[in-house]
Amino acid sequence: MKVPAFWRTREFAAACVLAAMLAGCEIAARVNTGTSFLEQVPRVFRECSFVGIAAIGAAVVIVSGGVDLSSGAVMKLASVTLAALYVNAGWPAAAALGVGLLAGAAVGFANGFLVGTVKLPPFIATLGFLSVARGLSYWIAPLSIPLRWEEKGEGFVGFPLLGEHSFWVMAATGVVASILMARFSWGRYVYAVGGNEEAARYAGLRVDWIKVGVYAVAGLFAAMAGCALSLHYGSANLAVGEGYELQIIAACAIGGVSFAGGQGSVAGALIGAATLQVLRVLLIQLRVGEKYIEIAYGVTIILAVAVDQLRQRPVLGKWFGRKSA
Amino acid sequence: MVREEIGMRNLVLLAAASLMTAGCDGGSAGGGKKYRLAILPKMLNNPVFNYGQIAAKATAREIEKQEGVKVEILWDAPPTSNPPQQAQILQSYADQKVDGISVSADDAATLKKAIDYAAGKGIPVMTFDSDSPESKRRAFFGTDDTECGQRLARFLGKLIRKGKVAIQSGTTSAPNLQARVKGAKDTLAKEFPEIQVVDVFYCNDDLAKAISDIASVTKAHPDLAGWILVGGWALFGQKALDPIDPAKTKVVSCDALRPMWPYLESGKCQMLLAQDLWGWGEQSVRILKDMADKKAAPSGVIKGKLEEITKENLEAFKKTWTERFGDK
Repeated sequence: MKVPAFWRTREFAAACVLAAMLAGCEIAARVNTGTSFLEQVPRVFRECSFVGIAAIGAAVVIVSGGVDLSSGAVMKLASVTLAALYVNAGWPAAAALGVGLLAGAAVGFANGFLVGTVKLPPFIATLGFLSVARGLSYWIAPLSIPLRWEEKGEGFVGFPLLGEHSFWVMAATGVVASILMARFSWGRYVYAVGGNEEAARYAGLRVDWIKVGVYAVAGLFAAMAGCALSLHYGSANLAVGEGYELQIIAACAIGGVSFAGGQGSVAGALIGAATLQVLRVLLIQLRVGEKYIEIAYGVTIILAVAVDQLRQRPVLGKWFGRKSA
Repeated sequence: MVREEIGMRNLVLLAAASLMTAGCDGGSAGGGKKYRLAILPKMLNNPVFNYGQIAAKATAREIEKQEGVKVEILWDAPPTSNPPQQAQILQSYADQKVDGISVSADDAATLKKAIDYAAGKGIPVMTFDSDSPESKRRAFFGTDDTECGQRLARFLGKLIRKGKVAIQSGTTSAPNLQARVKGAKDTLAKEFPEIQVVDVFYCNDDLAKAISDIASVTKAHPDLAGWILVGGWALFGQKALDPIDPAKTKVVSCDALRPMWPYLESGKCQMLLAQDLWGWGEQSVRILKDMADKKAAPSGVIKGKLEEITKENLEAFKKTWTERFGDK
């Protein structure tokens, strides 16, 4: 495998776009308000961490050649499970959080089992569990549950970690996942399965169980994202995670994770998540009308995927940093 | 997948209905008359509607006690906003010949045909929260959304008199939210010419996006004098108004659910405009039952009460709320 020059990777291109947007935010803030955008950076990066944490798992799934449409619903399920156990049932914080995360991992495991061993198309299996997770959430908590853990003086470290430092949780888990994908055999197997599933099978890889693991990891990360969002904003309800699956997939696309499978990285997905959040803030800073913000979102996603497609072509791929096999 | 899900649900409902019909002699149970009332909110994933469900069930129990009849509430909706699916659900209840249907129309035009279908079968149909005025529904109970927007704007306008105002809404397509935004904008333009609307920001009913937008817009417009939230999305969470300096920027919002009260107490929000959520459920049950009994029932548009909640009358509001909804 020939490793492309760093500056020709999609991750580098995406990072440059993100840096340019941040510079744009700074200029717009200085011109329009006479203040620096830097003071807003921690908030903006914390806000992107909810999509970002889930995008770590989603990137691994997409690299394996699959897709997970249930991630937003899993965020919701984990969030209401945590809140129902902690607030309504009075469980200790660690146990409630643990069960919330396990609920997400269990949905992910079930997705992986259906995709890996029953051989259902990922689109169908995860769409089914999108519905199941939504239904379970409605059954668990039809009403909004205030999650005011700070007022109770909660001593368990997991709550402030996820609720107040979700950006650092995203960064740390992103680094771990990146190392796992790049330096450990499991990560290389995931790339191999996504690149050519049949070849991976003939090479003796347990493709079915690799897929089970991949989806379970994605479920766990989506659950972590849902819990982080609810703990930060102090509310768990049925609107949490609604439609996030599209944002999560868009973050992966913008960050250069290829939907053909076998290409892309966790770092790219995180850059994509940050780009999506910063893009909206930039457009608000530039005082662009709301209707144009939605259009800009769509155009950005289309451009990102179009560039990914162009990279697959022999001549254009040379200029877009296509990784050669 | 969704169709299969609906199909399965309809099969189960049909089977249940058949069993009941066979076993209960035309819907009578224990000698008392039985009413089966379908109440269909826009979607299941909006917790606001579930306050209506609590009210509907409490009212049903009250009628059962008073009149010795049985009132069954069939609460059903698509998981997320999906007007065609809501229309299918409504038609399935019409086919089961329920005694009445009350629906919050997610899209007036899409629901019109389904409402007319049910009315054509002789089933009393009314709307709540969101109307379908051109349909054959017999009554509508809910907020006058234009008035809601007007009152939010008027309250804020009197507080600030001049300056920049931002408006937050949910989705671009919801007709009730459109009416609130229009009511607010028209009132500001007419009664407070020195107030300028920066823009309307849509959060797509997403708590995180709603809170993020409040921070970003407030930072982008340091001279912002006010926020009008035509729905309470952002205030369902904590810290939504952390970037707001109450001395510079005033906030008014529609809805007054329990999680929103601390914003009034802290002085970050100046007014919450409470809709009559109890009435959604209570009026639906009472009106439909009267219609089923062929008694004189209210018809046409019945306005739900809009109550301005401020720091001063919050305690009284809390008391009423707790009596009705407990600690929810």
